Amino acid sequence: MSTQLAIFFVLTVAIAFCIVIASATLVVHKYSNDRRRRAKAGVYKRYAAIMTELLVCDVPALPPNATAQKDLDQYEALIAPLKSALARLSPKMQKVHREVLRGVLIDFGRDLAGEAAERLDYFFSSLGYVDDELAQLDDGNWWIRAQAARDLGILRARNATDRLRGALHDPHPDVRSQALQSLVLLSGVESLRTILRAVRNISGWNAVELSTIVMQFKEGAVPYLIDAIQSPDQSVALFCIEMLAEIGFVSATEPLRSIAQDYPNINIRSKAVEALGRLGDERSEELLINLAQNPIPKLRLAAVQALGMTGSPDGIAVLAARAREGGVEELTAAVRSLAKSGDRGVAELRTLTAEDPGRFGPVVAEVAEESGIVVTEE
Amino acid sequence: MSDIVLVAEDQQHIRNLIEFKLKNVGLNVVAVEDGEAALKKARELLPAVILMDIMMPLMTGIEVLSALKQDERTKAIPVLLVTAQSKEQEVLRGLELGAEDYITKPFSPNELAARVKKILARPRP
Repeated sequence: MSTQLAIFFVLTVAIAFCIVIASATLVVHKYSNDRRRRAKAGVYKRYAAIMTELLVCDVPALPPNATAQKDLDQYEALIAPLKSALARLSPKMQKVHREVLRGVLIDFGRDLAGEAAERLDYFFSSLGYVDDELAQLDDGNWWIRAQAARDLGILRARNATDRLRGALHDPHPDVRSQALQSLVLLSGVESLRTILRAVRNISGWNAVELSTIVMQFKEGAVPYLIDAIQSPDQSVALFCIEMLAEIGFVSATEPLRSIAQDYPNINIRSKAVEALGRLGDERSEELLINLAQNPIPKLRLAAVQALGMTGSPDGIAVLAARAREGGVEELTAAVRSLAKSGDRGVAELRTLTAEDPGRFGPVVAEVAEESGIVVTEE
Repeated sequence: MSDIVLVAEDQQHIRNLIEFKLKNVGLNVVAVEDGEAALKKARELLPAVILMDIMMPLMTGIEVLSALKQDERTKAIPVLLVTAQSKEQEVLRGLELGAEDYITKPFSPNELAARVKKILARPRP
């Protein structure tokens, strides 16, 4: 009994001792972390103040014929004292200071443009950060690669463009996304050429991101979208055709007509037909009328629907023919398109209903209700 | 109205940069970090122009602008809004409320200073 009590007592003391040691360790750890954080905040504040002055201080005006290198020489003269100060630090402190300074540069980079941004870009490069970020594009951790891709864009590291193009093929989607955003920042609309060549398997998610980028450029994007329709990846071709229809610039009509007529892939031809309908350019009407009689059902259906989008009276005869001869899907599409083809289209719907009430009556009634048109004569 | 430029921006590094730049071009600058302080200082100092970020804590730039335009003492003070590029609706709201103009981020400090000086150079009521 007394042995058991002794063991119990020893165990209790040992557990209490461990708890005290653990608590003390946690308190010391928290205190050290807080101290480090405050020290870093102090360093950040100092570098932010230094950068503020370096970014907006006046520099001597250069003569009009001065080369771009003279600007860079001035920027180098501004940053030289800071570089010397960093070089004098111990390796450990240099690492801490460089990390904080990098954060300062990135934070300024998000908000500045103009000559101040040019100085910032130069400082970022001259301090060796571009090389660091480029090295991080090869890091084994995807979040490091993604951050590097993002920061290279924020700080407009133009000599990183090639590596960012490479990052478009990164296995992780977040890295690819950041590389994409950075290329757009660095190269503007011209980046679309590279991006649309590099992307593969455009899914719903990255289609939204890509479409946001394309729509920034509107008609500026059209030539690049037209080029990219030839992509071997069907999802890219379909995406580009969708974007051309969305932008609505009629310079896309001719290339889309060509694709609707001759492209070897039926899905892409159908999408091009739909896009022609949405563009509403009368140059496409004859082609759409012909395709509405094409032996391939998918193309016929797309053309019938597209004629409804153009609302052209010239298509009424072929729409009526499709309504008479087509299956349920074509019948419904033809009736809808006739409903959108003005008074003559509505008159044709009355004719069809009178001709075969059983076949056309229910569909015409449904479409009339959908479109708010009156088909039955008073 | 005084000759002071009131700067309201919550991000310290940007606030300090704007303050430094405007002082560098010879302007008299007071800087604050939130909307409530901006409104208080505007009523106290009656600055010649207010440079105001839209997204700020306590009161947004739009709320401050609305309050300024409803106060007889401050309604004539020109206000230049600073906004992120994606905030078009807020810019439109600000212009409807009577903001003089706006500048989007990322911004050029040189352009900002030029715009402020242009407003200050106009004859005052």
